Amino acid sequence: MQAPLLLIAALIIFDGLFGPQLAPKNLATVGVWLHYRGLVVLVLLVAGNLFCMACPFMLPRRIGRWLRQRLWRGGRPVPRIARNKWPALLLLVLFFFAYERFSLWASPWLTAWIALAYFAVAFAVDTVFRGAAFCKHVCPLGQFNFFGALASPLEIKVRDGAKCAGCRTKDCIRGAQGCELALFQPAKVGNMDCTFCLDCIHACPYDNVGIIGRLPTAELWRDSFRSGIGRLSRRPDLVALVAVLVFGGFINAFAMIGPVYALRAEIGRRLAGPNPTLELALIFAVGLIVLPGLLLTAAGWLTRRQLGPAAGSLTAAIGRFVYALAPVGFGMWVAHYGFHFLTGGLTIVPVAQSFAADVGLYRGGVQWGLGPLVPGEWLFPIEAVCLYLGAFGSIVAAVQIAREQTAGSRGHALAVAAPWLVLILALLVAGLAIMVQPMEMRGTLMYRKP
Amino acid sequence: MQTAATPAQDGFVMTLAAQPSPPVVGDGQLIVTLADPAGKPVADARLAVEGNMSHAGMKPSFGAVTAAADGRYTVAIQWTMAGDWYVDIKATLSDGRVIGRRFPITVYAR
Repeated sequence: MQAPLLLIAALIIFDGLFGPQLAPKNLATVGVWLHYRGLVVLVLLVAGNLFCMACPFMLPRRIGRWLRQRLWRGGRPVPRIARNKWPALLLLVLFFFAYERFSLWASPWLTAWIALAYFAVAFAVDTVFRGAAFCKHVCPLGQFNFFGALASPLEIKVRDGAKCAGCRTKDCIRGAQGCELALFQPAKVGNMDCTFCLDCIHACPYDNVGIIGRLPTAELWRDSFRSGIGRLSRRPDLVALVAVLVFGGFINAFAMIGPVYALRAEIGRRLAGPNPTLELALIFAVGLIVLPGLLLTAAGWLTRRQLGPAAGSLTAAIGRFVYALAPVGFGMWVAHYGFHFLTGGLTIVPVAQSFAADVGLYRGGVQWGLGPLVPGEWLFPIEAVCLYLGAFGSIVAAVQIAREQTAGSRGHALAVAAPWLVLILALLVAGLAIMVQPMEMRGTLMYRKP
Repeated sequence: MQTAATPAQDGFVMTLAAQPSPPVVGDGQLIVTLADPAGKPVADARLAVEGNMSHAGMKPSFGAVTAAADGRYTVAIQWTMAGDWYVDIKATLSDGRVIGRRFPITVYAR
């Protein structure tokens, strides 16, 4: 699967650099911002992290690993300070900001350079460091996939734990094809950090590891120890990553509708003149840091009050319950990216025809009339279903987490979960309010509404 | 609202105005004027008008010339989404020369 995606990546880079610099007519912008993103969320929703499995950046990683093993005796371990998600989180926030500030969706040239930079960084990181450093600690796309895969119906796991108990060789972690991301199958829980590379499946001499169906989001209900990760609630970097991806889903969609332009104009007026960088920085600071911080603190504080002395610290309460927001956050990403994919999924046909014509491989007509995959009136109902499903998954997760915390009492569990249920419903309403508005794609021209 | 195209070396002056102004989602009109380097209106050009959004995923809207007189062309076009558009106009002159311009234009929600 990596070879076809590598070929597509090469075509995207070529057309982005040398093709028409009009986003709707270039493979780079159509392929990356429409189809890649749309298909990623849909595949995560109906299957699992198959895009990490098919990742085209595996080739430079493999070359890097080959060089590392031959030139640097296996390479260096990732420095302790970076053995977490903070580097990836920083890149993710920078990417969200750059996407809006530099209108990346509108620039085939910049899109191609992002892909090239990705190849270069994947190669550089894995040439120096061992332990799938790029996937585990750097790759923002991978972190998004790990986040989305929390709600996926497929997981790579052990079929029969008893067989693992009798295993002496532990090939799934120690063997030549042992997990690079340090996920020891018998103690692996859920999809976090799993790139679906299938190394463990190939490594197991007992054919005891497989891609197995599961109840989506159920991995969030228990805070058990996870191999290669620890407990989710005790990983502030993961807590921050999930919070940013949950609220980032809403901010990213908010940036596409009319009110954001009025807000930016108002900020500009108060700043004595338009300043796109500062306007966006303020919106991102509020949307990704201040607002989530306040909401999570308030919900955590109320939950802690309900739990009493057994609750632990405020950060422990937030760290335990923040994962309940992952499904509604993912629902927002699916609704948003799904919207773009459904409104323009067929545009890949004329764009590919046009590209083929440009390089002399096609002489037929270009079907520029192709566009939407579904009628326009279906869009909002589909988006709403995505949000409802996400909110439902979040509500179930919050209640289950509360039940684990309260050891059984349903009434007490509901009281403990209540602040999070209110937050989930508020996010659902916010998502619906964003999606019910006409999506506008502006920012490139920076016109102000008269 | 009249928008300006990227300056060109050929000396021809093409202008574009949207009706209604500012343009809103739905059926709209463009008024295109074309004058030669001497300032004389070009009345007999064939216009090809194509609107594309600045982002991927929306099919182009093609304009149809509904009236033309004295270098002033009225073009019907459908704005399918609010946001930033680029309108590409190619005017083929009677001597075969093609004058092309790109106009940025913002379409608003109704």
